[in-house]
Amino acid sequence: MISFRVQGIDELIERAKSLFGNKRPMLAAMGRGVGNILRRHFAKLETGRPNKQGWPRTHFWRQVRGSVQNPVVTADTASVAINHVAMAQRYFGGEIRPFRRQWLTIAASPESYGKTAPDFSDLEFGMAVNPFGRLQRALGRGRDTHTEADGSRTSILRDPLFWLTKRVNQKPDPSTLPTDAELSAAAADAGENYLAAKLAQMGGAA
Amino acid sequence: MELTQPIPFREAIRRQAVRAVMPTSMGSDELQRLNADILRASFFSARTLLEDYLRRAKQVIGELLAPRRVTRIDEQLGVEVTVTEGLNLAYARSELQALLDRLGYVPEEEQAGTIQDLRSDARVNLVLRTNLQIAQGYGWWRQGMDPGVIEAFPAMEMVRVQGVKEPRNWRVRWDAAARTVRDWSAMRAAADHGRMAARKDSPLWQALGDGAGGFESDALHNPYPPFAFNSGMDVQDVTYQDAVAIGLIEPGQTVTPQLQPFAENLAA
Repeated sequence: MISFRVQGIDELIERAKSLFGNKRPMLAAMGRGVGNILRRHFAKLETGRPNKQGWPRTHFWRQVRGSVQNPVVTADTASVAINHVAMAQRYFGGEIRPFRRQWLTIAASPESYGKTAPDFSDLEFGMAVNPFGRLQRALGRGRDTHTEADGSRTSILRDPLFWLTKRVNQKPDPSTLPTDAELSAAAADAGENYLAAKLAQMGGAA
Repeated sequence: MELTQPIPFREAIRRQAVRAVMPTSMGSDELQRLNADILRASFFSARTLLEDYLRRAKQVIGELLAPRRVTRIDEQLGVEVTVTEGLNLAYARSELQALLDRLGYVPEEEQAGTIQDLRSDARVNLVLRTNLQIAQGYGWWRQGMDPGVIEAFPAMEMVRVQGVKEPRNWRVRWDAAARTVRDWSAMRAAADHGRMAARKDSPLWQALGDGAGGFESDALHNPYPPFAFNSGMDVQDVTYQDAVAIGLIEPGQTVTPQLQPFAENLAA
């Protein structure tokens, strides 16, 4: 999960306080502006980033978009959270290791993509040739005989469905979020719209 | 922007929590004829008579809505780490399918593997995704009525957020809903600007959710998205200045925040 705190943009916030005696609605509007740009950003990722393998989609970015929440306002800040369990990992990167399990499972075919190993009742543990030409532990079906470079023979899985690994290192991906400048601009634009609406209601111009 | 601790999605979680479990043997067509308020207040899946399953499905969706930040000892490093715990859709689906197995569920032979099979991936995905999106859609819609937010963003518009194999003609549905409630500004916004946009207090949104104009068969009866099963459509806010520019409101005009739907009144 990731949260943003809207700060700064002090001039707009103080203007709201001086005009209306209350800056909370302004902060709420600004926070909503941040939420809106986050939702638009994730909608673009949903349409523009199908999975690299071309497999059936899980609509991950649609799910992330749905998890963006509205601001929680305090005296001087508005916080916006993205409540998806995997979003922080995508943005910050880092090492993933199994918890209460021996292995991490990584989908090896379209059949297993978006699924878990327990979804299949007919998988065997073994070795299989990965896309890099190396033998790797896997869960899969069927057996073939693989001849090593030294002529020895090994029984390997014919159809790996999951690669098994002890850890995965993901690089951080800042493109999964709008830039700070975009977020600030969205907050400021929302604040200006709030001021424009309120001043128009009072019969004046912003 | 400073990155801080997360806050639970309160409105969505509360919306999910108040929905009662409603076992039913009615099919989807029969359920559609039920009063919209009863449907909104109940957590249902057509033809599901397994209360334990429905109860667990409701809990699972609650867990999808609210992943937790927890501190635990890293088994390998031997130090305290803070991690995010929660379900993703794949594990949520696995849990529900495993529960159905423990309950001894067996589909009718001709339905096995189809959407009528409660255990099929398609059926469980539909239940999870639809109910998750309804809870999130309600949360975003409800919070959009807050002071400050409704002034800055007095309107919203329909946008496509996910591709689908067979897109519905939403423009036709939009025009039908607008005609039904006589929201001419919404009709003009679509005709003149190509935008399916309306004020947040327009009855058009409920009409859209009810499938006005002959589209009742896949309607979900909410004034917030999703407006139909597997639609791929959602809404986004329209700014005050934009709403004036496309004729949805006059300068200085106020938009009335909409009260909570019936389900929250039941909880009170």
